[in-house]
Order: sequence, then C-alpha cells, then structure tokens
Amino acid sequence: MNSLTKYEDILISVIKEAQKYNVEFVEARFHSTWKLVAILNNGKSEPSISSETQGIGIRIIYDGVMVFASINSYDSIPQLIEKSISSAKSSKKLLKNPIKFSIEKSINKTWAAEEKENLKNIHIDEMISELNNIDKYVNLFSSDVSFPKRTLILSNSIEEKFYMNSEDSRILSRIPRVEFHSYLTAKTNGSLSAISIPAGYAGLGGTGGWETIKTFNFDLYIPEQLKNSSKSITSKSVKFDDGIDVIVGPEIAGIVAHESCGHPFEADRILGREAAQAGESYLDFDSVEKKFNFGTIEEIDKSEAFVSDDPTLPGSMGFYLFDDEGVEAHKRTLLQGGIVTDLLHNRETSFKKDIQSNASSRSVDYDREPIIRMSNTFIEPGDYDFDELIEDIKYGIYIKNFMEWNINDTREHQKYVGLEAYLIKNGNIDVNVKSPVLELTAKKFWSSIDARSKDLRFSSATCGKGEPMQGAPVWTGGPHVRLQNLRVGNHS
Amino acid sequence: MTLNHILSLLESKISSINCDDFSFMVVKDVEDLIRFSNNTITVFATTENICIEIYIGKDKKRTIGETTNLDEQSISNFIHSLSKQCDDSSINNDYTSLPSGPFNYVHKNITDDEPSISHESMIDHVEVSINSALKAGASRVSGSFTSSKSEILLKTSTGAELTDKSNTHLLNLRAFSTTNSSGHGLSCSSSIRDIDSENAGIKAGEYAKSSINPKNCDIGKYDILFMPTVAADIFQHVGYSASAFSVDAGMSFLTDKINEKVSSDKLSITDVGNPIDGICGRIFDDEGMPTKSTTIIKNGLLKNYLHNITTSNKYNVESTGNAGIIDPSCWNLDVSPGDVTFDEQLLSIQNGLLITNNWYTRFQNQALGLYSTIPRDACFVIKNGEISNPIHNIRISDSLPRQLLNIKSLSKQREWIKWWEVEVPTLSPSVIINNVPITRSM
Repeated sequence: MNSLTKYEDILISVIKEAQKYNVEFVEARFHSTWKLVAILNNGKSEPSISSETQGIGIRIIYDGVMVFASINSYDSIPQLIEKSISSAKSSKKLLKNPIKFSIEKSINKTWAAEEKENLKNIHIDEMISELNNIDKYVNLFSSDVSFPKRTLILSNSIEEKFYMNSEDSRILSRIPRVEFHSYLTAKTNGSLSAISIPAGYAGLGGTGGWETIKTFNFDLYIPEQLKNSSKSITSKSVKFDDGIDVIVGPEIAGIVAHESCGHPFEADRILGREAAQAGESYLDFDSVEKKFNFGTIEEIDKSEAFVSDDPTLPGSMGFYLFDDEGVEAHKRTLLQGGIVTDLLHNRETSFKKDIQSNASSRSVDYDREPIIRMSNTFIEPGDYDFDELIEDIKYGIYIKNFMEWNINDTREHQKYVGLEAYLIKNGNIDVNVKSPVLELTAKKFWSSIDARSKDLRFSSATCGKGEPMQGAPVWTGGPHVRLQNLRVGNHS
Repeated sequence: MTLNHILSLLESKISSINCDDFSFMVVKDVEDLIRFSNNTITVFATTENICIEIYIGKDKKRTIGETTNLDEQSISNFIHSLSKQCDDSSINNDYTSLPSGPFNYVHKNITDDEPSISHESMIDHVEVSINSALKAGASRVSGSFTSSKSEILLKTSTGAELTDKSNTHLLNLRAFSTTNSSGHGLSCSSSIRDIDSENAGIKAGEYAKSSINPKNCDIGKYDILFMPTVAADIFQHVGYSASAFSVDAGMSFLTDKINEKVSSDKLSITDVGNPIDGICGRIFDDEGMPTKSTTIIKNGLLKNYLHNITTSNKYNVESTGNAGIIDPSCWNLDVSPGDVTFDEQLLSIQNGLLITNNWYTRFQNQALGLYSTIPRDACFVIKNGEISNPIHNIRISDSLPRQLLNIKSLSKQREWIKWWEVEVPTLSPSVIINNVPITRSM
C-alpha cells in the first residue's frame, strides 16, 4: 500500500498551475523517505536516528529552459511556480540549446518492491540487537589481530514516490531497503589498520523488508571477513615484475564496471553536463556511433568485456521498474565483446540522439532534480569455474577486494589497492600479499580480460553525482575476472 | 507556517512526553542554483525547505529525529514516535546532559544592508564568468552558481533560545580549450559583494589555455606547489580527522597524538565557528554551545580534537562547540599564512610540479592516513623557478602525516575555498610539500 495517494490533488494542482503558463512540459513528484538507523560504536549504542523527509519536486520546461523547484510547505506552490517561470524567462539569455524531451508513452502504474516483513514494524531495539551480535563476533574473534575500534551501522528505509506529468503519466512506487556498513580498526604489534566490512567502504544491502537481513548471513560472513582481513593486514608486500596475470574478485570487478564503464556511459556526462562536478567521459557520441571498442579488430573477436546495467534485478539496491521521468525500465547492455552497445539515457539526452529513453533518470530526494544514474552495474559472468581460472597461472596474483580506489574525471585512469590478496603459484593460491596496486587505464583493463567465472556477486554502494550531491543506492558486481599481462605495484 | 509558529508547536507537543533533555532545531533554507555547461544554462533550480531536527534524551538513552512533514498532527506523531524510539534504545553510560548556560554568543556580522541577489543578477554573474573564461582563451565553460539563505532557530531543555542566519554564494566553473585541456576557477563568500565572477572566469580560462598539449610526467618524487584549492582538500581531511568521533571510531591518523608533533612547525590550523568573512559560520552548535575558535594544530603540534558535549565528557575537556549530536565536525578551517609570496614559492623550486586542482581523494588506511588523490585541470612542471610545460594523467599516492611533516612553505596570500570536492570552507594559502610521490596508469 502506498501512503502517498492522498497527495494526488496537490500533484494535479501543480500540473494545472504550471500549465497556466503554457509550459512545454511539467512533472511533479511527491517523494518521501522514511529511515531508521542504529549505530553501535565500540560496543556502545549511539543515538538512534529517525528521519521522515517528504516534499514535492517539480520540473518545468518553459521556452526551452529547464527549471526545477522543490518545496515542503504546500500552501505556497503557486508562488513557487510563478517564481520558477520568472527564472526561466530571465535565463533565456543564457540559453544556447533549448531543452526538449524524447516522446515517451504515458504510464499509469502502481508498483512496489517485494516486502514480506514491513520495516516500519521493526523497532530500534531489534536493530541494535543485530549489531550487538555482530560486535560479539568481532570480540570473540581470536588471532594476533584485535579490533579495538568498531563502528557498526544498520539502516532501514522506505522510499515512496508519486509521479505525475503533463503527458498523463501517473506512477506510484514503494522501495524498502536494508543496508549494513561497518568500519573497524585492526591492531597488531602496535600497528593500526582501518578497514571496512565489506571492504572498499561498501555495504551489504538489498531491496525488501526485514527478511532481507537474513540474506546477509552475519554469523558466517563476519567471522570469515575478520579472518581474511587479519591475514591480509599481517602479510607482507611483494614486488612484482611487469606483465603478470591477475585475477580480480567480484568486488573489484564491480567497482571497475561502475567507475570505468557505467559512469563514462552516462549520456549527460558525455554531453558535458557534469563537467564542473563529477566530470566527463572518454567517450563521445561520434566514437560510440563508430562502434568504439577497447582493442584491435583481432582482439575484439575474442574480447571478454561484457558489462550490463539492470534496474530490474529483484532484491537489488538499484531496483526500480519506472524511472523518475515515467519511463519503463529494462536491462541495458553497455559493453558487449569490448564494443560499446548502449549508453545510459534520460529523456533529454535521448531526444538529442533521436532515440527512446532507456529509463536511467533518478532522483534521491524531493529536493533533487532527476539525473542519469546507474542502477546495478556489473560485468556479466562467463563459463569458467574459479579453479579453472587459476590453473594455468604459473605466477600471478588474486586480488579479492580493495580499500582505496579513484579514477580521473574522464574515467580512463584508475587505481585499486587490494585489501585481501594472494599470490598464485603454479595454479594454486599461495600466501597473502599486502596492498597490491592496480593502476591502469580503462583500455588496458577492458582489453586485458581473457576469462570470466560463472559466479556473479554484488556489493551495495552509494554512487555520488550531481550538484547538489545526490548519493544513489546501487549494486556493483561481477564474477571473478582474469586479466593478462598487467603491472602490479605495491603501496609505498 | 512561520518558523516561530513551528517552534511554538514543538514546545507544546514536547511537553506531553517525559524526557531529561530535548532540543529542537528548525532550519529554513532557500537556495537558487544555476547549472551551466558548454556555455549554456542546463537548469535553474529553486528549493524552499523547512526541516525540523529533534533530540530527546532520557534514562541515559538518546535519539535524534529529522522531519520535513510540517502538518501539526504529523509533528505530534513524530515526537511521540521518537519518544518511543528513545525508550527502546540502549543505555549508554557516556550520556551527558545538554549544556546549561548562560553562555555568551558572539553575534554575527550580517548587516541589514547585505543585498539579496535577484535571479537576474545571478544570471549576470554566470554570463560574466563564462564570457571572461572565453575571452581568456577557453572554448567552452561549465559550472554552477549557488546562492542560499539559511535561518536556524534552536531551543533546548536547558534554556537556550537562539537564532542564527547565514548567506552563502558559491561560484564554481571549469573552462576547456578546443583540445580539452582545462582550468578551474571559483569565488565564494557570504556576501554577494565579494563574488568576483570575472576573475574566476579569467583564471579558469587562462589555465585551460596554458595547459594545452600536456605531456606525460615521469613517476617519482617531486617538490609540489599546491594551489589553495588542492591545499584546502588536504587540510579538510585534517579537519575530519580532528573530530573526536573519528578518533573514537579509529578513522583518524591523529589518534593519541595530542601535544605531539604532527606537522612542520610552519603549519597552524584553527577551526573557526564564526569567521568574520567566512562562508558557513554559526554562532551556536547543535547542542546550544557557543561556537568558537579551536586550535587544531599550533606550529606543528596537535593541540585539540573537536568536541561536542558527549565526547568532551569522555575526554575530560570542555566542549569546543562543534556538535553534531553524534559527530562533532569542523565549521570553517583557517590555515595560517606563511611568510613568502606565491612568486617566491615558485622561485624556490628547481625541479617540481604545480598542481592547481584535484579530486577523488580516497584512503587505503585512515588510521595511518595512507591515501591517493587525482590532480585535475591544469598541472605544470616547474623548472628552475619557472612554470614550464603542462602535464597530465598523474596521481598523488602518499601519506597525510608525511605530507604535513614535509611542508616547506605556505604563502602569505590566502583564499577561501569551498566547492564540489572541498566541503569544509577553508581559508588556505598555497603550499609547497617536498618529495611527494607521483604515480600514473600503465
């Protein structure tokens, strides 16, 4: 049941009020987010955090100018719309390219992510109890490594939207989410290492009710991560010769798919709309039309670079069925055999390419404009078992996950520093390796893949973009991926 | 509904629940934003938001709530739900009651003649910045101009009834040459009179023009002259690490280092709650304590962490007026000026680099401050005290403690920095750091 149906009259009044000004397009989105957060810091409960944000976000195209307005005090909506139209008129002198939208069909739908146990029935004490159990796993963990500092965070949220536009679309949605993060400081022989579980400042997260927390399997997952992280922290760094084979785990495959395929494939970045903030792209529309690829023709025939973005994955953090421009979502195939096959579009960028939008537009709150976002971006699985991936490697490295990463603003030059990593010797996993560094270009990564495993795993992440900043829930994922002939450094 | 009306409503509703401590904060933000790219406007955004933040403490249990649902019944329901949530929370023996005054609050220097900026005037500023960048040699310009007004009312169970107002104007732009070399410019202030859109545009345009045809740079260690935009990013991470919450959580390289040497003697950093010409000043924190100036680093020695009431009680010191109920955080960072000019800094480098902007700073190990960041926009080689050829595609892979100890000089001239990458308003000089490791992709 969506709690926003009572706001229908307000949304209709917004559309009608804007239409008095002969606008080309208007949409109104009533957007509410309920959230409850429990935090345990070194075994002590921090104040619980409860938030209920709600309000209306309005977008209008007037004489080719896009204006966005948001408000949570509804008696002054007419004045806000008048002010926005006035802003559009004043902005006309800065407008070089009038904004238009692709024509999309009207939608009248109500949809919701599956939710068995309503998150609003889960009280804070139950959430704290989960965190206390995790803290016990950490305290019971026995090794040379102790974890004297521990911050554990559990968050339940329900996001509801009621979307309406001047083209008769009317869409109600409801997405509950559960997410876990933890930050630990490990101590061994007086030395400190700050890590996260999951690694890479990522989370365990999914769409669904309280039943989602069972899928995290804390009782197995946390002790295993503590054991593996402890071995990594106490391991030694290794100096490698250039040109070794590397296997990256699903967490690294996922972040690479997100950072150096998903982001540069956002059509608004390619057009320069994020240039002063989240940056641009190594792609341009001309190169995409000429089938931009990551290798020579000969290499393309055997390329193993396949990346998709799929908002319709049930249970995923980036799950949605209709985007915030009222367009029906479907899976997007971004990279197929090393060749760019699709980009992420909204109605503005798809108009410029004379195509239909592929429903990539999302907003994270009522006071944020919808912009192009990834959903769940991942390297597609292959047909190898993990053992088959490593059996031919005489001397290489398996980098399972990471902590530090970054990428330049056109998304070519990237760096991933491993947390859990192992030498591979004669087809077998050998000793742990401390903080191996992959620092390479997008072309080098995507053209060096020669095999992918069958397994496909996802991590929960928050993707940052836009101004004001919008942190969007996503999954990043992939299989184990083998790359040939790379340079691997070590952290100085 | 006026803010005072909401405050009265909150007072009447809170009286129906039992608690030991409470505070309300009612915040009204009105913000106009122009985003532009390729010399054309992409969106004009106006937001008018009122947010209520509530803190309740009882029986050594605490809860925080935030709502933007302003109807009377919803507010009443929200307070009762928070009260129940507080009952269901766990006891924390670090519980500390809200501070009791009376306190002296330094009143702000926002004069009544501070002009409010019209939409037309904002558009004029954007137009001037674009045209200045184009005239300076750019072929396309992107950026944003934000103008916001904020009003905050705070009432606590211990008698504080406080009001604060602030204005913020942020112009940030990036200019590109025909070959996609780029430069960054910004201007930020609490007064629209101080926004220099022309110079921000000229700076971005000149950097874009002068960084055409960049070359690759050998990996290795360099003495680097960081412009204030980059230095501010480095120093904001010192500010984050100075939060007592970050220290308690193990996410700080400053843990257990009070009164120890953490930087070059030349460096002093102070958190200033309400700087005279600052951007986001506050006269009180979220617990009703007066904000003040707190020395974080003095001539190389770590002097203080930033505290709220709870962390100050744990550390047996006074609150520094930096609440956040959970996480004390810096307001504005004032980095001490040095005794040399920018030109003298340049002349002092025989073989080094000049880096004008950066982004994407991420840590491998926050407890040790191991991190990397990516120079963005114009970067140059410095040879024999002069700016030489532009370079690109490099990365700084270093440790924050090492960098602070290897500061060679700070400039006399300082600049307020706040933009997409630098969230904490920071008054920063340009800085030379010796032997900074530079890496790049294969």
